[in-house]
Amino acid sequence: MTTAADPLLSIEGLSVTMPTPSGPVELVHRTDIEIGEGEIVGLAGESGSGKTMTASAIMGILPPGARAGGRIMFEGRDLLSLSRAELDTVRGNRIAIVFQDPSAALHPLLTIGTQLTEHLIHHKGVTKKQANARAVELLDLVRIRDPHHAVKAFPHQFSGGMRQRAAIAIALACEPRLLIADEPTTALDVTVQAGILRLFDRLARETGVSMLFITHDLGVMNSIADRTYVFKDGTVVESGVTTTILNDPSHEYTKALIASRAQSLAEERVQQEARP
Amino acid sequence: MPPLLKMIGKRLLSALVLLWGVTVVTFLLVNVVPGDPAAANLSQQAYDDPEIRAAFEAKWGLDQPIWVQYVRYLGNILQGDLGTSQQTHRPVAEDLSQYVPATIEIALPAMALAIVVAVGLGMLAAMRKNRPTDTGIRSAALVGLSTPPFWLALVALYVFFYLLGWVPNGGRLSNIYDPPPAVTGMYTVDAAIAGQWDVFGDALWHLVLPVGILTALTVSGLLRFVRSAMIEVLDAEYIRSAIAKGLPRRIITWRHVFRAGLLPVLTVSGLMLASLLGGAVLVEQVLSWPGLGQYAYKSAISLDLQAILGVTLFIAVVYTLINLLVDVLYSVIDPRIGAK
Repeated sequence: MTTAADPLLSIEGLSVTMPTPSGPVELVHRTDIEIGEGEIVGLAGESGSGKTMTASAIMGILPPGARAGGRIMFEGRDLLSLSRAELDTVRGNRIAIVFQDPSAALHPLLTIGTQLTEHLIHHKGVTKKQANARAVELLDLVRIRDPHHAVKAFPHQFSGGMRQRAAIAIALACEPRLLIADEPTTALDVTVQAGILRLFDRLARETGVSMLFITHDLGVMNSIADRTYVFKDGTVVESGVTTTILNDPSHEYTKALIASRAQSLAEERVQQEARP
Repeated sequence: MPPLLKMIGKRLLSALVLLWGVTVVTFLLVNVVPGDPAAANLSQQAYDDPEIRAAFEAKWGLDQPIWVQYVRYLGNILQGDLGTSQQTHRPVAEDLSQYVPATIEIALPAMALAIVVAVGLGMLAAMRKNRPTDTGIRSAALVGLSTPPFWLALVALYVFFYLLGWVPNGGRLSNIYDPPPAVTGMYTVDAAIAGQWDVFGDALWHLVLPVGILTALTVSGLLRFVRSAMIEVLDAEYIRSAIAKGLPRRIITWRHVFRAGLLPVLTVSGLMLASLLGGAVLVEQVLSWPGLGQYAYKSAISLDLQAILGVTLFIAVVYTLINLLVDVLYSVIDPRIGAK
């Protein structure tokens, strides 16, 4: 069941059920995912395939009414069986998440500094002063210019790309062992997407943090993930080393995803060439 | 803080323009209403005295063209002269300085209490959405909202004065006390300033019922706004972020939810406070509270034109100032507004 060493996170038989007026609907069923220490694991699939539900189940932030079954083992504990208080010692601390749209995920009325330090102070018990020093370090780490000034800024004073960098800094504040990135480049301009991807890649190498990288874009997956799980209709249809999957897909759905990616790339090319 | 000061300056300027507009409208109203202002404002005896009549007409420039009259009217207002009440035969400004503090004395504490109670209950209801706590709070608010103010005042008077004897039966002070030396016009404050603690206690005791009733009425209206504002915030993605950070519920509630939900509540609270400061006619009537509502009501039924105009101007000023205050608070709470 396990590889050489115990995996950092192991999702075993996860199912997520959502009540609807016409009876409960299973959004994720019997899904197994493993993430090793220092590994970047991709979760690919089109929207609505259950990728975000899987991430939400790990973080304990499923929508109201949704129920998760199975096990999510992390550091010897099943996250699904923890109380809220126990889970709160894990999330934001040992596991952190970066959401898709930083404009919505950052609190509009709190400074970047407050949002960078509040969980740090809570989880690590550091003083405000220590936390502020760390906040400047973190902003520097994600390459935000003039970090001393930036900690006092509000999210609206940042560009979209800077907001996502700040959100990544917030996620890394407590030096988590696992970072979940849920479509972290989808809401951004194409021009800044590459920069954010390079940032994730560099952070993984520099900090050794493991990552669960969720995206619908196989091109993105190719550039970042060691291993990839392909999701369809709430379950994994194919998994393995990313390059192998992309070069030699075994499942029809993966082939279709790659084909659509190729088609959209071709369309982009045509559009670019059509421009003067 | 130059941007904030600049904003305040700009708003003050537009407030002045607005108030000037109000004076134009009120002045035109005086002139549209048919009848002889001298006859309307002077007593029969004074009206019959040609000297007094001439003095009145000269003072208000009734023999002059209309724009001269307006300039004079504006000049008088700027000097604090709002004319004389036909009913009390006293300057309207003097009447206002007596009735307005009585209203402020019940309106401000009622609003403050209402905000505390409504925000507390509204947040609780939002966090327990569609659960029994929420249903209970919402039903109570609905009952409060559908209760006629005068009925509530009557029942409260019956229960708390007649049956229980906990509160006096209206008025601002018991007969055995004289009002404290006037400084602010608010009996509790003036008594405290003068060190007359027995008068202070008695004035406070008289505040309980009117403040309680106004609070109850205001809470029911405000609560629904707080609840829906907080529900919207609770659904926001940045609250999901806060939960995903493993923050304690206390910090999420007060730092993340409360602050964001406060903005829409602030606007409604401002309007409600302005409305309270305009006087609560029915409640004041039942509890014999000599506030602005009673004054406005009496002026209206006796067509006391100068008094009505005085009240109108006062209320316009109140609304303008409170809107200014809300704008300033908004930009203090929400950095996105100050930046514009």
